Amino acid sequence: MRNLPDGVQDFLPDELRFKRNIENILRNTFELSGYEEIMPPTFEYLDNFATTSGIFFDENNIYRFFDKKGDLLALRPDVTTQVARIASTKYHEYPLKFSYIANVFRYDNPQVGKMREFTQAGIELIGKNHEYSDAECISVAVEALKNIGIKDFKVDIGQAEFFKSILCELRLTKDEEDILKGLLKEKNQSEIEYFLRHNNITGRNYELIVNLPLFFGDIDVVENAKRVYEFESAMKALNYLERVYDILKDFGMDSYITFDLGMVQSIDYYTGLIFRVFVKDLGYAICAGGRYDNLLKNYGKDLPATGFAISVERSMLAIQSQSGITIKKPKSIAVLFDDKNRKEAYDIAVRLRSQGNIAELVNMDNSEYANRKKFDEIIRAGV
Amino acid sequence: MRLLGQVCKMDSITVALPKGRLAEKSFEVFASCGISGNIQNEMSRKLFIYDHESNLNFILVKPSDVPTYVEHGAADLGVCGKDVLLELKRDCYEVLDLGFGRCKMVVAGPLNKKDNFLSNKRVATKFPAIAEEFYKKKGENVEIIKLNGSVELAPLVGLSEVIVDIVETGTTLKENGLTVYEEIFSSSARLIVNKASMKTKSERIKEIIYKLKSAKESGMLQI
Repeated sequence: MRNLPDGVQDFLPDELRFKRNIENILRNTFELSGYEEIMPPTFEYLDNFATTSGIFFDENNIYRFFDKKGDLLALRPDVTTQVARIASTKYHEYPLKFSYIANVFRYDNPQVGKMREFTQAGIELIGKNHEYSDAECISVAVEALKNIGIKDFKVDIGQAEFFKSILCELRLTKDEEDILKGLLKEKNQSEIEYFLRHNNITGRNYELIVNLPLFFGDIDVVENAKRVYEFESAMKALNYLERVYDILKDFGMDSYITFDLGMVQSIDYYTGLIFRVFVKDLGYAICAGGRYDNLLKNYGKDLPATGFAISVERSMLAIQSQSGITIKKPKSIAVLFDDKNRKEAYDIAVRLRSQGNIAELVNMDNSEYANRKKFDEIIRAGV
Repeated sequence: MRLLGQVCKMDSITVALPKGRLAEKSFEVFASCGISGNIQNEMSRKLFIYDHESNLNFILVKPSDVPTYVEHGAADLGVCGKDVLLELKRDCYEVLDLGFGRCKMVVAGPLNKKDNFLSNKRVATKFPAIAEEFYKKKGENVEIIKLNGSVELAPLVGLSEVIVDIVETGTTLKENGLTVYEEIFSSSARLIVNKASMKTKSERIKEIIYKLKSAKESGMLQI
């Protein structure tokens, strides 16, 4: 076997240098914002990714395997569930702020920007349920993306509570709710119309749902929605969005913010404000996150939480298509030597390295290697 | 402020259209709704048409490739039959049923249907995913044979017992001595939108959606 299975890839030096550079900037941004880095294991019990009500992820999309004892294990499909477990079981004082950069594994159909093993860089803020924590999360995401050099991006904010509050009004069965959710996810307005007529949903309730797919755009959307969705739970959800927006405005980030009241997340644990980041001319979100106030209950603590994950590979694609890759690499120097002056050559190399250069000892009779490697400078020991 | 609005408005938008009759109809609709200029005459053999008037790019691609272009963001919008969308299950917004390009996905077979007692029925089709899901739901085990064209031939030469295919008028079926056994769903042209474009170029895209929507509601899109 000389080839790789679908959905995984080798990173060769230039590409990996580019990736590590991005990861370092992200790590630094998170750290400086007060989010300490942690690293959960690559695999753990499958049950840890499940709740009493089922698994958050499509079970067929998780890499599962048995250990020798017969326990069912899983490669992590995301890190958030692991951070939730750590925060509930290993800590007693809150709030907590964690960050991570880790590879996750999902058995999706591989396509551009959608690998089966990919790197997520994210933060989690656990133990606080306040508009400030949502605003803080979004602001860290904006800073992080700006720092790695992404331009022209939009943070698209939705509200999981809002759709739930409308569903409550409709009294559909669980299956019908799932169908409607799927149609809303596609913004499939025509099919939503057929669905509502088919289920004899008319009058006010029809109006509540039918325009939902097109309720997206700038802050005016929230304002307009308040005139249509006048019942209490919906108003509460909309007012919350406005308060978060006001904070972000004071942080100078309002130009990045758009709203989509018809947004539905595919991972099931989100409960309140949710968001995604889109880049012009890249077809898919490079960052997703939101509030998941019920997740920690599974690990024994009833704590609110919010967070996001940036897809590192997709960010690489975005940077590549926007400004082209610039790989920062230290100056590289070859130190040519022969048997007589190898001691001196080694001393030179050590000195160059301590100054932050790449320094390689190259045997005089191996000059072909020195030529091929394209050093910035070639020096000779003992001259 | 107005300048900014205008800059946003002039975001160039790329529309993927399926080569053939749907493209012709789409051009007609786009022009009659005032979304683009009248450029139907330009579509002779070109695959790429730029309309100065509206700053829209049109690309003409194979019908089954439209969702692929849109999903990846190579095109912001696309016009595509529901049959193709169901077959490919691509990740994009399906915002509007345009109402034209109507046809039906059916199971068809020979007129004088013979009972056959084979445990696995053979189904020839260009739409293997749709056929598979249909028979799965029915709880029938079938063997699916993927063909790329002239599917009507399969039952005549004994390649399959039935076919799953798109029919508009049914003439081709009749000419080949086939008849519709069952209807799976009815299809029509849909407007699909890339998920990122919807947000990063929302002003222009919303405008296009609204124009098409009101044209549809006033009955302008009927054939």
